[in-house]
Amino acid sequence: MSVGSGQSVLIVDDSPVMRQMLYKLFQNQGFNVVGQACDGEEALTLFEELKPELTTLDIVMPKLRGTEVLEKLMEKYPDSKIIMASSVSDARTVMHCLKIGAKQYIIKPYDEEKVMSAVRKALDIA
Amino acid sequence: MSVTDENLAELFEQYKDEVRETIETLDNELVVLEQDPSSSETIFSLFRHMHSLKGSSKMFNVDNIATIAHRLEDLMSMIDKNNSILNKYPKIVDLLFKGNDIFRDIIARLEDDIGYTSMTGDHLNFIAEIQAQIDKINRRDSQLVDSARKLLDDLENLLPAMEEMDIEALKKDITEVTTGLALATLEEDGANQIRFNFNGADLTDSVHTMEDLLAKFKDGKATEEDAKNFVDAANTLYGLLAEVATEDAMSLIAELGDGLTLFSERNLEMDQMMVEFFGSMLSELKEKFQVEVEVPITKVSQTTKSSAVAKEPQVKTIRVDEAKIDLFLESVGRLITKSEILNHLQFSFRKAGVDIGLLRDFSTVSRTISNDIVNLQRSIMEVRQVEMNNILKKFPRLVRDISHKIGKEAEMNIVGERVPIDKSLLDDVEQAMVHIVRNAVDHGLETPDERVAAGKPKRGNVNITVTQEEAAIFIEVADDGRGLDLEKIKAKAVERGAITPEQQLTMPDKEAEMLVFSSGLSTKDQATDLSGRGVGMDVVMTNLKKWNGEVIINNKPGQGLSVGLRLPVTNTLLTKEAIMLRVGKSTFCLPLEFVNEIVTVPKEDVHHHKEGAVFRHRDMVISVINLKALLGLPDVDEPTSDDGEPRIKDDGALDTHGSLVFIILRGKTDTRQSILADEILGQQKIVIKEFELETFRKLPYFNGLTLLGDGRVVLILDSDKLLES
Repeated sequence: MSVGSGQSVLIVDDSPVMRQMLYKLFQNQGFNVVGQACDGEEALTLFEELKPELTTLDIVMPKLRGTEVLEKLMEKYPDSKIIMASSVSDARTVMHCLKIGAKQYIIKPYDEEKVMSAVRKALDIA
Repeated sequence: MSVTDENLAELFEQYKDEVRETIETLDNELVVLEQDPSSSETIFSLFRHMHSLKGSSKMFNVDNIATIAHRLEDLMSMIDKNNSILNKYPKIVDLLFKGNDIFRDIIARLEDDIGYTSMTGDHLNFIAEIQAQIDKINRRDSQLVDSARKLLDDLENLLPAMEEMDIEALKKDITEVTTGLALATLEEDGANQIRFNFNGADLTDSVHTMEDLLAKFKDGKATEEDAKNFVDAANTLYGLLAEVATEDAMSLIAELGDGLTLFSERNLEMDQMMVEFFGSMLSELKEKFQVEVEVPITKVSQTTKSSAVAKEPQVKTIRVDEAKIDLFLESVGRLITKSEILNHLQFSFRKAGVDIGLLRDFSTVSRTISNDIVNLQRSIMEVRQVEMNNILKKFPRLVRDISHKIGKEAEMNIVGERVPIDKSLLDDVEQAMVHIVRNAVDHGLETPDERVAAGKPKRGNVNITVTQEEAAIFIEVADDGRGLDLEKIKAKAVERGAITPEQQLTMPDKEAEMLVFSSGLSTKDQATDLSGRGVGMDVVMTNLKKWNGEVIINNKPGQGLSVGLRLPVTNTLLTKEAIMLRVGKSTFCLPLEFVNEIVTVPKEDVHHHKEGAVFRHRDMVISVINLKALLGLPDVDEPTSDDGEPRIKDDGALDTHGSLVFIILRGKTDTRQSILADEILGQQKIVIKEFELETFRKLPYFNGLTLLGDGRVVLILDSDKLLES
């Protein structure tokens, strides 16, 4: 049984190989990856365009950091389901993101189980 | 990892590619950083790349890279917060370069040994080196704190002397500064976890100001103005130190508590790492009480905003095994041979009296197929093309390393990164360029002192320019160094027995310049371990010859040297247009690129001398290579096809009655030579096959063979070897 049922997903990460990995993972689990952004600015543009049901957001990226992307998105679309997926493990960053509205925060390295567990919780999938 | 293993294996190749790319980027950014240590854009980018490298390496369980990148990320983060660190410790750049070399080595080893992911002794030593550097930076700051503390002790002793001034305010400042210092000193112990947040340079400045002013106070020479300045400096010092310890640490603990609540509310994945992190952080805080951990995210983000990093074009790509493409090409090669058969069939049909309409249709179809195949071949060749950048990105680092090693200053500029080049050329071109660039820095550029004495800027230039010409790629490496000293080169060549003393006197400059490409010549009196002893340049030449490359030297003594490589694009194609010629009973082919002109000359206009025959053509004396004599063929002129095989003869074949046919060769020298042919059979596409047997490779005047449409095997004449004969 796959976790997803066609929900649209936007993947944001500056590393192509990380994007590819998440892409495969989501596609395998029945999600529909509708877009991939490689920096913060592209993330905002693609989010506006695609209005994904779920977004995974890296933090350290060119142009605009994930935390800033999160701030902007939460301000405009407070109901967005955003999972931070980063190797930043600094407690303050983690808290900051959760406080301003990220649903979940997973720290690299993550595996399929960890990602899907976070996805379930973020989307309230039983 | 429960991302399926197949997935990981598949992505692992991609991971390695990504790391390789990152390594190149890091190399180039480090070169930039070295030239401009204050470039916050570069510093942040380096930090970001280390961070990404750490992240993806963790995902793929490449622990060694992940660990090293992590520590270098810490180091970059310190520098990002305080640019002046690099000015104080320029050796950090070397450390970063070394790290990059270690990454490169790990990735290379992973090719053969997928398990090469744990830390080796070397890696641990390197980590210790990074740690030592980090400690040094921290210690330096704590030394500052120490000296500030001493200063304040002095200050307290001096207080009575300052009674007339605004003592109350000053006292207050001093108390606060002392508190700040106490906290700052505490940080020293937790240097690994806790990072300094103040600007060391500003701190030094204010401490120096205060020291100077204190000296005046001691001597009793201080004025009202001095006192004011002193208070200002004290305020600055306080402000700087306050950054280290503003917030009550207890509030941080409270915040952490909030965080933990938030975590449990959200039912967050409390993985091992998170628990450990919070656990250690809390115990640390309790143990050391009031010390705050501050990661200045705001500063980093501002840098991000202002640095408009050019967006890399996103190219949709698929990965194809190179061997597969070669296989395609081979199949296309066979198709070309087949389409030549179709061409031949036309002649047979015509001979057999086939209906002219049918013949025309057949000929149209055959031509279309032939065109399609050529187009197909071209497309596949394009697939094999990569951008010059693949080679070029290595050079800034190379130039940097060499110039450092020998105490020179060099700047590298590159133009033409996007020019496409066939992948098969890549290795040889890179090798050649490495030699040339090395020589440019090692032999070409003068030392900074020599340059200044010669009225040149201290820092030398090495520029690489790649341009795409119609049927060739032109790569130029130009330096503004001393140029070639031809007399010295010739003298050395005589010494090494490469040329005779007579040649030394008569040799034209253009030929002398080419001597640098012969083996065993090194004009620098002291051979260095960089340029070696001149071994290699000859290898470069041999490799380039394989691709019909041409070397163009432009020497301006005292001003610089430019070495150009021109590589014909067509030479990477496996098929060539060639002239088919008959000599006696034998058929040979000669690639069109070696043919300058085909002329017919009346027999009586050919003059025979002892050395051989010559004729005049357009006011030039052209000597004749007699293939029959050269190859030991019987001296007869018998047409082929006695066996009824279709003759390859285009309508354009030359009528040779009463005249002799000469193929004038395209030579690299001014002397003109030609081949005497009994008959030109035509022109056609051939698929070149290199000799596979060693015995054939030793054939003196041929460099391969081709299969004709009718199944005959024909040898391909090697124009270079003929010209040398």
